[in-house]
Amino acid sequence: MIQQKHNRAGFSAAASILLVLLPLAAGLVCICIGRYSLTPKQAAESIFSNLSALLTGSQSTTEQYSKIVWSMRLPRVLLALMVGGGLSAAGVAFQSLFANPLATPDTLGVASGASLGAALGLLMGMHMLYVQLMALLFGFLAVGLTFLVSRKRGSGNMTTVVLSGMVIASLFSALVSLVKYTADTDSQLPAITYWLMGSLSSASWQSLRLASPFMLTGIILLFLIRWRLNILPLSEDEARATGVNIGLLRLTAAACATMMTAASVAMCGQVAWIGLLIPHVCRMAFGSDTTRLLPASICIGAAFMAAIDTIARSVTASEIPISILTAIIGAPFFIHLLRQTRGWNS
Amino acid sequence: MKLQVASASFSYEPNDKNARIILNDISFSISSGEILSILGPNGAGKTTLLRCIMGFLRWSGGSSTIDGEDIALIEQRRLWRKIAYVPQAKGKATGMSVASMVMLGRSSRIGVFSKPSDKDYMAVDEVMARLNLSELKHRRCDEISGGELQMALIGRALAAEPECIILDEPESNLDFRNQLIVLNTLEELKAAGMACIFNTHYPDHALRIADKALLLDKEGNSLFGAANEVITESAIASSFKVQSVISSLKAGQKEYRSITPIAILSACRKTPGLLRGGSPLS
Repeated sequence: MIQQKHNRAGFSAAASILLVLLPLAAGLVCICIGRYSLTPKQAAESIFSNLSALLTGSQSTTEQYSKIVWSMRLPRVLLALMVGGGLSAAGVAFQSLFANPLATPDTLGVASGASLGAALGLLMGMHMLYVQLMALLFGFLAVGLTFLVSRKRGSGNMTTVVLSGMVIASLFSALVSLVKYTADTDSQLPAITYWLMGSLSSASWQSLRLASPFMLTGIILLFLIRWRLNILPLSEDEARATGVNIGLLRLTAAACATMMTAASVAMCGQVAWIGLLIPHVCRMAFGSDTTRLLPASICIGAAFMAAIDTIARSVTASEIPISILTAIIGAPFFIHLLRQTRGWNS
Repeated sequence: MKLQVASASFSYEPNDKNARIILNDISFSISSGEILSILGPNGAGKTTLLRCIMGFLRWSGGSSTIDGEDIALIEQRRLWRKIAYVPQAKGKATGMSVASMVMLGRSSRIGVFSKPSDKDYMAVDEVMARLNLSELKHRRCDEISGGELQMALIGRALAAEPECIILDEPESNLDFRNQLIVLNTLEELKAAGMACIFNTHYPDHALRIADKALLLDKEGNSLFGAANEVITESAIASSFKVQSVISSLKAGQKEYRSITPIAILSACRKTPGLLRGGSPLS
């Protein structure tokens, strides 16, 4: 019986609970940290009192810190959890889809497209919500273009898709540079540059409402088909011989990953590394079976992102851009892991 | 179970009259408990034939049927419970464990949003025990040997509990011992009532285990029949353009027939073409 448990693809009940608790605990701790320090008890109380006030429609009669938790820290931590989990899941999906351990959420040009949308929005001085909407639209536009370019007579060759994605990504990056070049150097350029480096400072309940449908749909759908994702890296004939509708499976995985990446870039700019780093760390720890890899990446990615964002907003007086932190913390950690374990492999 | 290919042809440009016809008017059938071996020189279209049979490529004419149903029209999930495909163990393997890889063979029996059930795990354990793979269960597919990977891929096919298994050169790139393991496995599957179709570069292997043989040549001709009637010195000369001698050897109680290549026949010299359905000797 014990022997049988060992070759299970998924996690045991205890491990699953631990994995789910990890981002929740990380989130709670992160809510407590900041210029105004709180105890976890205070944080939890203010969340519950605000929640019950929201549900019953009554006025919440709690203190000042309760407002900080509810209107500032909670949405931001929730966004960090979603972005971290979403980008990590997108990374797993893209790496399986392209059977390539180096595939990232930007392989299809999503992130570059979304960046262009946001840069344009900032250039035109739009309200933050419209900037985010622009980013979403352009993210989808870029992926659409990638598929149009790679569409040839006959079946879709994955190498062609990846190459098309690279071309579209560099095209959109060039356009971002063009926007930056034409931007006003006193106000618009710093705003665009800062935004592109990634920050969760614009998190609000409003932006959460915009992003969460995409994020949650993507995460939940990928989670539901987590075992099937194992089929994606197989060769065309092998994949078809499983009897699974491989075209639909590929489309679902690509669409989910694209939605989550576009939504995350729309909310908080380019967050480098997470989509590459977290799936690989999880691969080394839990193996390549996506039944484990996907949930583990979502939970650990979410917790990691919440931690990184907390560091970004609380270490210095002004915020540190996220991408700088993910690279500075991520790179040495990743190198250490590479040297400790047998290295990566799809 | 009966798998039948009826007057089937294939060309990459079916509308172009001048295009090369890869497979021309091929007919054969195989039933449960039989082994069919497909032979032919490089470029004769052996792999193309397998891909056409399974519906990965569309026949330009003719059809392949399973128990009278056209394979091109059967719903995919149902089809891949009846037949299973074993690709050549080449190219890059994934870092997945052998057990996870074998489990992928169960895909057609597992719901879209489901994970493998106890029944699936039992089926996988059973297959791995049957193929002596149990000790490799937790090893990564990119760490095991070529022979072990080939057996793992056969395991993946068997996990689907198919009635017919189709293998593309399963014993290529393997050493003597591993070749024998694969051949013995095919004989065991046959004894268990499965239909096996395999491509091979080794006429010896076909003589050893196959009941039926299909010989292809580069001109698109084919010869189908009982293995020991199809695989003759003259047919080999005509298909492979190689002069050979078939000899037999007694070891213990059993007699083994083998082919020794003697000389290359010049391609220009006209050799008698394969006569479909008839003996090339006549």
